[in-house]
Amino acid sequence: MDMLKVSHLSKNYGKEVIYQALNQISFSIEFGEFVGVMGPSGSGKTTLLNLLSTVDQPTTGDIEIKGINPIQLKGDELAHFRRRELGFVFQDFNLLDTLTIGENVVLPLTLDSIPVNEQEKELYTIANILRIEHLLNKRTYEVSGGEAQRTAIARAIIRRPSLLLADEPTGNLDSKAARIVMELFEKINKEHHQTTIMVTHDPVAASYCKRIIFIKDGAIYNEIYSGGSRQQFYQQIIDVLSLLGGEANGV
Amino acid sequence: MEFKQFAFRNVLRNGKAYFAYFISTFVSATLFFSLTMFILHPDKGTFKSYINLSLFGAEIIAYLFLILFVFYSSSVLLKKRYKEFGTLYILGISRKQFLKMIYIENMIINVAATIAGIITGLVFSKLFLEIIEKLLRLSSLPFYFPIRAIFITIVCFLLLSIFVSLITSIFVKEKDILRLLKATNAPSPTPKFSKPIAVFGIVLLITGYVFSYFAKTENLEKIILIILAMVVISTYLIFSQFVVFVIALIKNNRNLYLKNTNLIWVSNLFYRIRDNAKMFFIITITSSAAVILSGASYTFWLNTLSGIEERYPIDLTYETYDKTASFSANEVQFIEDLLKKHHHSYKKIVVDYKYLIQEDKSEIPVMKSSVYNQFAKALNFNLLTLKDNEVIQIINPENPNASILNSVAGKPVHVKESISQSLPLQNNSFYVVEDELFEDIENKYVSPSKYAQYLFNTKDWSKTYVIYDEYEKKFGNNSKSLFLSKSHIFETEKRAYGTIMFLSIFLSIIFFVATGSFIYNKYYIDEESDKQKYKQLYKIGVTFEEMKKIISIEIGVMFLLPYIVATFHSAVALGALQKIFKVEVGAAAMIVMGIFLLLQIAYFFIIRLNYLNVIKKHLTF
Repeated sequence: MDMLKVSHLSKNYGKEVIYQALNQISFSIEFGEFVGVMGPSGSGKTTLLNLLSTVDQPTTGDIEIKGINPIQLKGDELAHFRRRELGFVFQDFNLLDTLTIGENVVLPLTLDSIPVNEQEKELYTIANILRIEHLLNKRTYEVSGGEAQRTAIARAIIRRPSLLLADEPTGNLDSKAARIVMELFEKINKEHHQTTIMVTHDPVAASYCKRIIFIKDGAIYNEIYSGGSRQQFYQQIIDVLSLLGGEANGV
Repeated sequence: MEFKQFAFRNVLRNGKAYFAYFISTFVSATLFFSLTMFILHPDKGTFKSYINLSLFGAEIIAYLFLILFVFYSSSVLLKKRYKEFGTLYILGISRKQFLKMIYIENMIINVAATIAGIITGLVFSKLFLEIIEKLLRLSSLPFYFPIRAIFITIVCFLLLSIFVSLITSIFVKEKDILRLLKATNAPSPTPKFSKPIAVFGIVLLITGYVFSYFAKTENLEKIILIILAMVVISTYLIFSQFVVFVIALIKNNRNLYLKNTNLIWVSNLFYRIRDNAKMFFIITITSSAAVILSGASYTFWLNTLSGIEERYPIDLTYETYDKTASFSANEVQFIEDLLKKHHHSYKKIVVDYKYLIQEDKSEIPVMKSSVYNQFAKALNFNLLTLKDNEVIQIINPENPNASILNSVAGKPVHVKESISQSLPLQNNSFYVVEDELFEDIENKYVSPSKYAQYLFNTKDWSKTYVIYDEYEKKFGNNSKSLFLSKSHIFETEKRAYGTIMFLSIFLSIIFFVATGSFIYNKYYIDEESDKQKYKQLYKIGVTFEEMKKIISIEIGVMFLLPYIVATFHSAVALGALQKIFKVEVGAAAMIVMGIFLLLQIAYFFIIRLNYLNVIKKHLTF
């Protein structure tokens, strides 16, 4: 079953001088997949993610998430779609400073007017998965980067979205915190069948994925699948990247 | 967590951002409430309609200004939260929820500020009423519990917050929020300016100043609006165009621009001034309004009260056009009885002119020397001594053309000397003659248009308005006589200027607090990006001492620029006032601008210290 279907997606920027950020991209992702998107700077990764997260509108082409085309949605329908079907993890966490860690996590439920006792129940389940139970009453400036990112992931998946989108989730983390975060992504994907798309520069982070789509100049350049061994997959990624001429060592 | 809790926490845990906004709304609410409480005071008595009208007018101006202020502040503060809004958007907040959030947040701040303002207003109400009593010359007003004022204040501020929430939510565009999310953070474009418009701004300002120099009482009404428009528009152009233009000139001077830290602060200011042109403009206009208002009212207050002796040398004057002696005798007797009743020891001068008919049918007033000498004693000028056929000409300095007197009742006289001296109630020049000669003037030489004047000087005139009040009560409707009391005029003027002064101080405080809040918000908004900027500078080897210099110059310019322009505006406006109304503004202007400057300097040092601390902490972190 296809969770996400992207067909002939293009995005142009500029008025007089047209810059084609995405050129007729098509691919699909099945339920429960963990897909990495890689490519050099300016290849169109971020544009693709912006289109999938409905932050930006494509010039042509279609997106289908769980059979729904979010491009057609407007106003409240779109808000509800984002709230229920999408989860988003940012490079710089984007936690709200005015809320505690726990409050940040339940925010999507608050927006959906879920009763407080159910919010609490969900919070403890999710906090347990992401191992942030001890942080729930802390404020955002009291936790480390890795803890902040785990909070952001908890917030992104608390509604059990159809699609989890992550934009360089390890970009601001040291290697130890990055490893913990990636292991959690892997665990959520494996144990809870969370369909995930992650944009990254980092071949180490990418090696946790089951499949990598390489983009260059707005078009798909290559696609590789993991055979099961992370070490081997890492080597494969490095090989493609060196062919791609991008940065092999990430950020 | 419920949605309401979420909005509450956004405000409560974000104290630093809302601090200045809250304080200034709170001060405004306090003043607004206090004024309403006074206007509705049951024992206030009835005022002259103009006082009631100006009290009411000031309240409306304050309210309209508050709408602008609250709107501007909240939209500035919301800008800083665009990234937060972007996150909420991604989490699926609906437009309706977003509006609700802004609405609740605005409500919390305004309701808190209003309640705090009302409580403070109640606590200090005795003090406020005492100040008002003093400035408006009222008898003491007792404390009362102002239910209606509380109600009006709450309703006004609730409406304000609903209205502002509505407008701000229209101004926050989804597109702008999303731009921040797309991570395509384009650097802000180079400030643009047009040389002709920059020059036009300066020319317009000078033209406005020149116009105000040529303003007269007669044409004031017509041109004041034109002058105002010119100055307001040119002020905006100066900040948005001219100053940017001047900095561009500095940038083009390579020797100056590339000299140690100049590079940093000049290029910073280049962007800053363009970005903050609107704020500079608002600060300049509100500061000018505050200084001009308080300067002008203080000027009138000082001038009127110090000029009273000169304008009214005699305490009480009575004159009547009724020729029957009994009529005036009756009223004068009433006045004298009152003076005695209130234990005022007084000196009465009975003024008696005879109007000599000349050959050309004109009339020349003459006065007998004993009456003139009574004046001389009361008003401290030289006594006169005259022989039979001598007369002395008294020339009114305001009206110096006088006809020549050759004979009195057929007897030739010669003019001994001419004295320039004005007497109360006499607008023309006249002659003083010897008493006997005066008495001998037969009726056929004298015009029958004779009327009587009685003047009274008391030991202490300050309470004699009571006599005026009682006279008014009894004889107020008769149009044949005119009774003036220095004390009454003094009290009336004092009350009128007291009202104006009180209201301009009232508005000035609101303007000033708002200005302070604008500046605080500005620095609060820039703090985050500046922290990053200075950290980068630190990494490439700029020392903290150098940063101190850069920051001081930057903050100094930001403070000074509006102050300088506002000072120019106020100086020109008060200068025009001096010319048009012939009042002395120097002292008042100096005091008001001095106080303003001191407050600004104090505020500059507070903001600078605070800012340096934030940067320093961030560098060592």
